[in-house]
Amino acid sequence: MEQSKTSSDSASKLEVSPVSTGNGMSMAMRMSTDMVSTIFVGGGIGYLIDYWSKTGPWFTIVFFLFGTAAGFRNIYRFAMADSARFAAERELKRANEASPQQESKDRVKP
Amino acid sequence: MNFSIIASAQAETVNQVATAAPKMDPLHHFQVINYINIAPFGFDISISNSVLWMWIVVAVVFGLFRYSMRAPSLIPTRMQSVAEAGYLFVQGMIADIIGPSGKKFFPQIFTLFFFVLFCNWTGLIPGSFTVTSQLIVTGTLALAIFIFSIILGAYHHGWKFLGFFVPHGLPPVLLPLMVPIEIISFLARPVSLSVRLFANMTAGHTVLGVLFFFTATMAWFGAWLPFGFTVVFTGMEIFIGFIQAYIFTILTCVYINDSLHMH
Repeated sequence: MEQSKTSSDSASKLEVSPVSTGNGMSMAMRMSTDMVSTIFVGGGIGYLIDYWSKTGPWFTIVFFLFGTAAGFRNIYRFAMADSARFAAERELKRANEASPQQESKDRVKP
Repeated sequence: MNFSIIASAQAETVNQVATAAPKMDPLHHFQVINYINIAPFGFDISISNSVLWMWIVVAVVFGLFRYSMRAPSLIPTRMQSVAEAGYLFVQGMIADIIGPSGKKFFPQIFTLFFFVLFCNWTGLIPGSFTVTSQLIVTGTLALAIFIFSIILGAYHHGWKFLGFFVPHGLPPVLLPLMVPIEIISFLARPVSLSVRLFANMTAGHTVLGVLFFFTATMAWFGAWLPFGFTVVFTGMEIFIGFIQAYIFTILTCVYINDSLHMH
């Protein structure tokens, strides 16, 4: 019974690990496009409002700035979520080191 | 004035040289060619190379999984363990991001992942067509996911789903500033999702096209260098094809998760 539990635990660890391998690269790609796309969407919305209401360049400028802010907000939110994940992982590792004989067998070893 | 004349003369000679040598056209393989023209009631539903390769991709994925699981056994064969690894990979992703309530979206996400993955990978076969290098394809996929996530959110939360645009613990003074920002970052989701996949595929395949052109036209003592690069870049493209499919799927999971559990 105990044996089967640990093996299933390590299996669940294994199926998560390929998710984290490409993580750095995927994060970089997500961040770059998330930041740029909001600027384009913001500018586009502003341009359309200006186009329909004939209010000069003002909405374009304002929404361009909103879009830029949204890009930074995306990055900020993403980074905060990621640092929270890192902190949780570090906490888990520390817990493993504190009580090695119970947990290290199925947690530290990938 | 003088300069422009010289420049145009140079361009002329360059053009002449270029027409004398094989013509470099690394964007040639992104052209959509209609094989059979079908346009009932003004709707263009012609069978193009894009459509053909989508069918091939679906057939390949379907055939591969059917073949792998033709006689499932407790001790898996090589193909069966590959299929199971793919299954567990997507399952782990969903469990990681959405949690237990994401189980009912498994077929959708699994299909999406393997469709995008094999679109990226079959595009690397010489002479084939990369379906995901067309913005209309990736845009349609991304918009479908986007609209699905909105409907899902509205179904589960009703009008409260609009609270998605109001961040937690925000002083009311900042509302007129933050709500447009949140709306823009929400509307940018399908844009970034589609453009990322499209741009990565197009850029990678263009680079490969340029390098292959160099390999084909350079003298024998220099051709080994771009050829080496093509080998490296093909490996790189296989990796990027996987990463892009992974990002596309993981963001689908994130959007579905946002619709299910707001904030």
